[in-house]
Amino acid sequence: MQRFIAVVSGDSMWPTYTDGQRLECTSDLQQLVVGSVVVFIHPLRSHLRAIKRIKDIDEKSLFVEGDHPDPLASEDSHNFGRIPRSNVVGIVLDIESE
Amino acid sequence: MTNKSILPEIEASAHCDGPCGVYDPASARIAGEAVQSMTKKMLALEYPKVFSSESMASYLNTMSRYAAIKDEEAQKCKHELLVLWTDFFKPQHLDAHPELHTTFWQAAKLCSACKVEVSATHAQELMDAIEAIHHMFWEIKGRDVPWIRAS
Repeated sequence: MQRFIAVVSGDSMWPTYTDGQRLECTSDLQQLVVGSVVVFIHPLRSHLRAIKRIKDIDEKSLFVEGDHPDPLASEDSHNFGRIPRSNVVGIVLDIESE
Repeated sequence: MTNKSILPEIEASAHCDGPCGVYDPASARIAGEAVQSMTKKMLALEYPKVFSSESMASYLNTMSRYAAIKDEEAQKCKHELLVLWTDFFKPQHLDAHPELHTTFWQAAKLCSACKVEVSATHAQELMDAIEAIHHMFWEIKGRDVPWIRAS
């Protein structure tokens, strides 16, 4: 199991996580469940790692969505569709403590 | 226990799908200035002292053009303001700018007022509202951009 830090860039996870916040994540993906916030490879821009919350999950794919209440504030599965499970690189555990 | 100082770090994109970086209230400001300019020209245009077909045609043509441009630019200004209001500004901006919705609502209404009236007062109030929006916008973007006018 490997830990890493994901630095949030943007406001699509507001108010849960804000721009610039540092999040401790795990690459152990055994606990992928609805409600988890995940870091994943963007399905249409492979150089990009994105962060969203899982709204639905099945054996092969996930539907992910930003937390922001403004529908224009998040590019997520409403735009790019479900993402393969294999695109997920980490699960957010917590905000990095000082 | 994890030694956090040595954890690898990546950027996690949490952006929207829109062109976040290319909004600018300058589009509304330019349209608003055109509305104000046309309003002033309409109010300053003098009725022909010599009444003739030619002088009346010239007067009506000039006044009609001013009115048409004023109407068109007011509609354009309203469109630009609505795009900023609904697409750029987000709920989290209300904390720092609780007057945001009222300012945009009034600005949009002033665009309509400037279409149906020839009012120097409302044209100035529209420019004042756009200036307020300019300051809110650039403060949110974290940049010190002075308010300027082309006219």
